[in-house]
Amino acid sequence: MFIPTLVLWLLSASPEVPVKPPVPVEAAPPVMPADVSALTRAVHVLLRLTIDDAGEVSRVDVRDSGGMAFDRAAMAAALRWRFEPARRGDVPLEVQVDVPVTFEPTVPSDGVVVAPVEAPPRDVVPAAPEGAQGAVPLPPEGALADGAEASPPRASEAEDGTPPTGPRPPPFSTTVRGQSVAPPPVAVGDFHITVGQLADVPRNSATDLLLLAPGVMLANHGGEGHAETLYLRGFDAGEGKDVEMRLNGVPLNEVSHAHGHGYADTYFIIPELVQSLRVTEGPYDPSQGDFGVAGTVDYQLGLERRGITASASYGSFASRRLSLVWGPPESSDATFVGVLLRQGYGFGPNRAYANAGLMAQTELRLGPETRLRLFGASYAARFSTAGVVRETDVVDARLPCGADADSQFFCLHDPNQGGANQRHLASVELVSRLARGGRFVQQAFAVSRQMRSRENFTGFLQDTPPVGEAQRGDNTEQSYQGTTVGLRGRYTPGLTWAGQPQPVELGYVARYDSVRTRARRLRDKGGAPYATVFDNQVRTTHLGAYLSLRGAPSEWLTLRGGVRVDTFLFGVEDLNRPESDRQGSRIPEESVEAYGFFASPRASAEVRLTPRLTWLTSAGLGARSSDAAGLSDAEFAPYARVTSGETGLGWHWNDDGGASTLEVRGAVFATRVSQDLVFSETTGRNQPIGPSQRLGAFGTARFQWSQRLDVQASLAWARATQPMPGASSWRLWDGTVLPYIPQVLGRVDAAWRGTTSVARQPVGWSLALGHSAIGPKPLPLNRYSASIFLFDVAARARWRAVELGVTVENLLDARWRESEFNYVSNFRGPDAPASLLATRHFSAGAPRTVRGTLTVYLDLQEDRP
Amino acid sequence: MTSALRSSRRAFTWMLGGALVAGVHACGLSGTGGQSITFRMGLRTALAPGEDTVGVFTTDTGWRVTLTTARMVLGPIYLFEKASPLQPQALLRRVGDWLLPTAHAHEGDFFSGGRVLGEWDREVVFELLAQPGQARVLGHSPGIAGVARSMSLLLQPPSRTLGAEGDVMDGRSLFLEGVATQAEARVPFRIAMDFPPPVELQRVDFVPIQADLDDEGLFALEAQPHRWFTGTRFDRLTVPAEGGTVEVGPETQVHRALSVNVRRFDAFTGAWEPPG
Repeated sequence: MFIPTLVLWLLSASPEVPVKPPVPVEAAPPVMPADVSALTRAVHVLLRLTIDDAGEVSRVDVRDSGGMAFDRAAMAAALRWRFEPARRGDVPLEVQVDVPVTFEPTVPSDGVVVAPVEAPPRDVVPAAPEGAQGAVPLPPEGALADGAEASPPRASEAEDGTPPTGPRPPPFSTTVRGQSVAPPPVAVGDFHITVGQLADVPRNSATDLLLLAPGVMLANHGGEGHAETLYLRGFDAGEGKDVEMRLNGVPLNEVSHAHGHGYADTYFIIPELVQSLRVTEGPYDPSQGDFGVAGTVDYQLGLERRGITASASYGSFASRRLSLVWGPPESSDATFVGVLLRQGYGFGPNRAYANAGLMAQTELRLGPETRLRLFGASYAARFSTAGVVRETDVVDARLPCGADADSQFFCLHDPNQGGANQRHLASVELVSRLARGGRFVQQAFAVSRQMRSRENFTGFLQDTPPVGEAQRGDNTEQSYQGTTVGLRGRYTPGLTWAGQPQPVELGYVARYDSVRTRARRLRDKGGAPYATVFDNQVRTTHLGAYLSLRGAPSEWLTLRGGVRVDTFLFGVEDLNRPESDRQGSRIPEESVEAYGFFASPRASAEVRLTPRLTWLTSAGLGARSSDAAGLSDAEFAPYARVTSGETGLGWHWNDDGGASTLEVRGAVFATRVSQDLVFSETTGRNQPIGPSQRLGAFGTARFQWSQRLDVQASLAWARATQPMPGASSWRLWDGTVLPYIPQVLGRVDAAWRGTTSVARQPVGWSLALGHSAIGPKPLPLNRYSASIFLFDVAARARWRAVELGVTVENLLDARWRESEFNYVSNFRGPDAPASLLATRHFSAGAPRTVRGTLTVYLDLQEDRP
Repeated sequence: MTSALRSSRRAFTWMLGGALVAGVHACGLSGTGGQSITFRMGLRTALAPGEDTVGVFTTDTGWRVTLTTARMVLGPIYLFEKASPLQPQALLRRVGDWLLPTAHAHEGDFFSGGRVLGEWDREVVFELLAQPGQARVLGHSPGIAGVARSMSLLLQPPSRTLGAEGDVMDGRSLFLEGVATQAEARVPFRIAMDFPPPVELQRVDFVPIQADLDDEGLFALEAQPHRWFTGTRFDRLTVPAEGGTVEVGPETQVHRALSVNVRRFDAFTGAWEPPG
């Protein structure tokens, strides 16, 4: 947590007529710049304010810079302050005031509330005449700070040098909210990623922000509105089955989803509102819960830029995007509203989409130590999808599109594919700072969700038609609707034990889901359902709690550890049982109940080799709950157990002013999962395959230079195998390689900002690059896919409140396969002889996409006088 | 963009590309098991034993048959890893099976060919007499390296996907024309045959083969027309008084015999020719 501190020391000036100093009326605190890395030490900015005779801050100058980002944050806040004007007698007076602002790191916590701190006193100087501002010398900072009591500051009108006399005003201090400082990582692969300047890199959705973490690949076979398949650390995490997803602490994974247990759609998140995200790769933090097999992603929302930002985009394939975000200048970055509308035809046939989302949050201060955060989101989407195509049909130009290669590549088999989504989410979070730095956080949330999707992976293969009839088609409708309610909380007592501050944290989660999950086959002609694959009413209760301990037995060693306990109660009403069995007719429903429990210890050791170099080793157990659809009655619910270990180095450097920082990390890891799931094309969802294991390594670096250049690069390697039966669990490199999971992933994000002068007008500009390199993915039968290299670029120019931008995604117009599968299919028709040989299928990746954007900034902080 | 940034980007891309290439070359295979191959699929008409002309043979009933036209719709073709249950087995194995028969979960002798190692997933109109002794190469076919021990194929009416190629079949599955002679008897005949659904009646199953599939080899499916005429009794056909061609209808013994024989496991064979 950073602590910007603000104090005014106001003195009267004239020995003859006492000057009554200005009194702050409104003094919203500065906001920690979002695009700087976590502070390791305090940054000071000294401002000189000119407070006019109406009490408004008419001018702000930086006397001592703390770096451009901090200067701007402090100036932006100061421009919003209001005062009772200084007075000489009854006459309002314009004065100049020096105000120090300090941005400080704080103890690790989620905390966002900072205690009032008194700052050193500073001068109040009646303003000099126009053109002479700043001519009045100010005492050196040290002298002021140290000698405030003994040496009252001067007033400029006291030209004879006599110290002003008069009543000494009470120092006012303010409580400021900055962005919480990232807690120390629990593993080298624990990333607290501030989006900051890298928001300039073209991204289609908030999901794409995950590419800022090393070793992440995203793929989508279901269209714009379908959750992305996430590959992380050698895991095919599906649409969320192996990655715990949270938004401001609200869990997003959906239990027993028809498309796959743990399905998590983050497409509804408005990218402009994502301030940071924490990606914890591996199960090393006791706070990580269900689905945290490959890791956990927690999106943190916030809007640094106050005022209104309206943006309109138009581009290739008639893509249109309108966004409007605003946050009152009087409030902190935790108060905002965002609206996003998207629409387009998509980059090929049957890829149209339209969606709308709204997110709003208000932060209320219930006292100096307590705040209440109310958050809500609504989202609705409709989309079509081309699904997958069979490679042999593309090569032989058999698809119902133009015969040229491009038309075939982007064509489709079944136009009756697509879906719709609705999501409504609400959260209430209460954060209290306790004595001695403790924290108490309570959160309640509710989610209402509805989804329907139709996908056809196999054409005409799965149906067993009635005698005399042809195959009716394999289009599978998956629907999911239900609600989630829950509580989360954590408690960090303000204890000091054995010289260690806050060595203990306790946390809990309670979640109840009531959902209806169903899959049906649809007729190729007309789309009417003809068979039910499954139809379950699922009710689950998840209770989890954890205890986390931290201690530093020596100056160079910090140990962290904890244990997490999770329990699940599943209640499943199977609504798709037969109407009769061998004993006669029966009710076609059946109830199943099961209970599951697991405990997950986690620990890490941090060795500080040098002040900048840290060696971090972590180990932990994690788990994924059972898919309720696969449970038997009264069983002890099985779950997937993951065991993971990691060791690596982290190195951090920043220059003296904090304007430039460089962070480098690298680690090796190993993971074993007791029961893995892989995608099954016949059911269109994930199915168990037994144990799997992974071995991998990654390296990442981020360099930030002032507010001009921000570059992040990462390279990751992972090998995922299915061990041979009976093989030692230590032989992590042996076994059959799991297909489809990329082994080498590289990513570069870079953004460069600057200003120039055009026709004597200052124009801000930015250039950004995003580059993804995806190595050959292992495919069945000892094959590899082709490597993929994608380049996305963006350029923007801003004059006053207007900004024009252009983005080009897939700059080289590469033809790439976003996802690939190998299985048997028959898309030739219901009466055509089926192919029985598993063959390649793929979904096409987007071609070059150009988009222009017009953005208007209203109530700009920078444009205030 | 500065040259430094451009250079960095280029360097990274080259480095990554090099690593990818090196990684792939170091490993060679992806390690997912099996080996994907591409081989050629072909069709050929077998010579009858003792004959040197395609389409000329003597039936077991003593009729000398000379085909003048022979074409059929054929495909898809599937190559299985499991051996055909009809494949001749060693004496010891047969005794073993007799002493300890295989248990089946249901009545009948269900056969699953196991994994499909290769296939030609389309139909084709095959002119049996067009390229005597030569295999008509249909094209490249995907497959999995390994020994294929049985084969099946479909005989069916030409579907729409055949397009103009199927017009010559006039909607029929098999068309044969020729002359059968025995002593003084001479029977010019013409047979058009259908194999309508269900698919169970269109499939030629359990064809024993031994093909060690590998890249770029040729699997030649051989039609054995001389076996199709086993047991045919041309003497039961009535030759028109004016001496024209006999239209062999489904009510005739010859038609029925052909209908059965063409779908027997020995109506076709397959041969593997490694890449030369």
